[in-house]
Amino acid sequence: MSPEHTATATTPMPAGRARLLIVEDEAIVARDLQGRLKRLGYEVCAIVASGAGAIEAASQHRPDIVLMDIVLKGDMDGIEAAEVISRDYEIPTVFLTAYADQQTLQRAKLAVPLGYIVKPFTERELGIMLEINLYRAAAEARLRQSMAALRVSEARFRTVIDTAQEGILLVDDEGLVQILNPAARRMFGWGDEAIGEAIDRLIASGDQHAAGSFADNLSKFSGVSHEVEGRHKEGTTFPMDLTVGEASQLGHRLFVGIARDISERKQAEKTQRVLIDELNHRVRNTLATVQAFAAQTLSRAKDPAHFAESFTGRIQALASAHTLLTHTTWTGAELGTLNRAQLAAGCDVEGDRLVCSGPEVILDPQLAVHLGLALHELCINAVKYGALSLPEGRLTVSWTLVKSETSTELKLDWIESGGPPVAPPASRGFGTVLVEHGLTHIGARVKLGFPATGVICEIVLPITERSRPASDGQQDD
Amino acid sequence: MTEARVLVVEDEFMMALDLVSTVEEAGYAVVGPAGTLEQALLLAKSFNIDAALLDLNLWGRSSVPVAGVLKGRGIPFAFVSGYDKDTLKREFKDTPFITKPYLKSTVLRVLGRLTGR
Repeated sequence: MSPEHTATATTPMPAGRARLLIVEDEAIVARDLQGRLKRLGYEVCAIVASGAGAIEAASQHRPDIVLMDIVLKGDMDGIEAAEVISRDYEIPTVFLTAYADQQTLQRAKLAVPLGYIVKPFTERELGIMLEINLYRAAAEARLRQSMAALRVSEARFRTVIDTAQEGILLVDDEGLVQILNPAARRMFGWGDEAIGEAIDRLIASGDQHAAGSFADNLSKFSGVSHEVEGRHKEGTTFPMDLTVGEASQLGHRLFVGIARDISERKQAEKTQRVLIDELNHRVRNTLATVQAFAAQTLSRAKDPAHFAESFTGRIQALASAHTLLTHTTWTGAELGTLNRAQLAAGCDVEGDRLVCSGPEVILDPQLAVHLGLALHELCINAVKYGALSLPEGRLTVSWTLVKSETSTELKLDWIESGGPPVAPPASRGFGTVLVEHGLTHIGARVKLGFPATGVICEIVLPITERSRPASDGQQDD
Repeated sequence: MTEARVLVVEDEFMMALDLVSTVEEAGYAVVGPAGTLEQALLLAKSFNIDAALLDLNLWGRSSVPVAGVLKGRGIPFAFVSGYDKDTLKREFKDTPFITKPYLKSTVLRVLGRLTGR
């Protein structure tokens, strides 16, 4: 069905088939009029004699046009009735009147400015008048339809603009804000008062050295997105992503800006940079530690095989401590877990030969790494020369927290028994140096003893605010 | 000519040990090594020192206070760190900076410059 067909079906019918309502309180005049209209080819759908009757008949019959006498019997005259019919049913009225006084005509025109015929009139005059008014009514109906269609279209585009999560700004070629959608209003803290304001008050170009204002520079922002500074009405600023599209309307340039607040993204990027820097530091530090291990182990190695064994063992102990710390994203390692990990890697001993006991204590990362390495050295020594070199030898590792008024210390006892008789070594081996000096270096007190029954080692570590008993909870991390 | 005395500040024991060996083998006398900020401050304030090697990060704490003490006493020093040099404040931007992991030769070249050898 073509648009023309649609229009024809919903607009008043052409002369010959148009339906008319006659409102006339003089029955003779009404019948005369009806006769004339029929001869002209119109259909009269009803004849009524009062204003109230006219409104009711208009509602019921929906005529194409109402022929209305201005002076009617009853409370309501023709002009009032025509106003109601026009307003409620959008049906036009042609007034028929014997009174040509200017005041009445003026009122009639203001009420329903469609047309009027002064009595008496000829049949030809009536015909022409009706044709003109039917044509006008049809044109107005079409206009109403397109206005309605335009309203639907406008509402649809308005919905798009209003529900967009990006801020949308329309700026004229003088750099003045014309439209600010709800997302932009939330972003910038401005309301209707932003309309007509300079765009510079909302967006800084970020390039303070550029000549001219942001509005002058708007066109160079066209196309790709730019990172600029948004200005909140309260005075704060925020990073934002801006894409500008340029359009032309009625010979004027217009700019459409799509703005996105990227504060959260910038914060995430910053956090990521910090994390990458920290990772870089940790990797370099670890490599430097490995380098130091290699150099120190090498300088004391008897032969390449000895070097390889000692070096690999130490690197594994380091890796094991790092693995534990990675599980807690480097906030700390639990002492019992650290102990078991180092013992499992260093000596393959199970069952009641190995006793490991003590309260849960979280060690800060550096303490964990140093203690882990010391435990590794003790373990290697026990397996090679100490209690764990014999099948019946035993090892007990126990620890307690010793609290005084000013500080808390961790006391750890390493006690070997059931091994071959022990004699104090003639000189300190490198492993012993690592245990004693490595822990002393980080503030611990170490007592290494060599009674005949087995090696004993007492380690007393200060518990800092970064290491703590697990019962204190981890919520302060 | 007496040995130049070098303060070594490094929180990781193995690295401290390695740095001490490196410095001693080259004929310097070592003061320290200090593994904590408190130890380092104590040594930097009261010991007879000709130069210092400062790890920038001691157990998560900056060693810049130690650098301040040394600067006040007119003792030359270099930073040793796994961080980038640009993390340093402007005050120390001309201070020699040794990045971890380092070559022995780099450490000794910097020490030579610090002690005028």
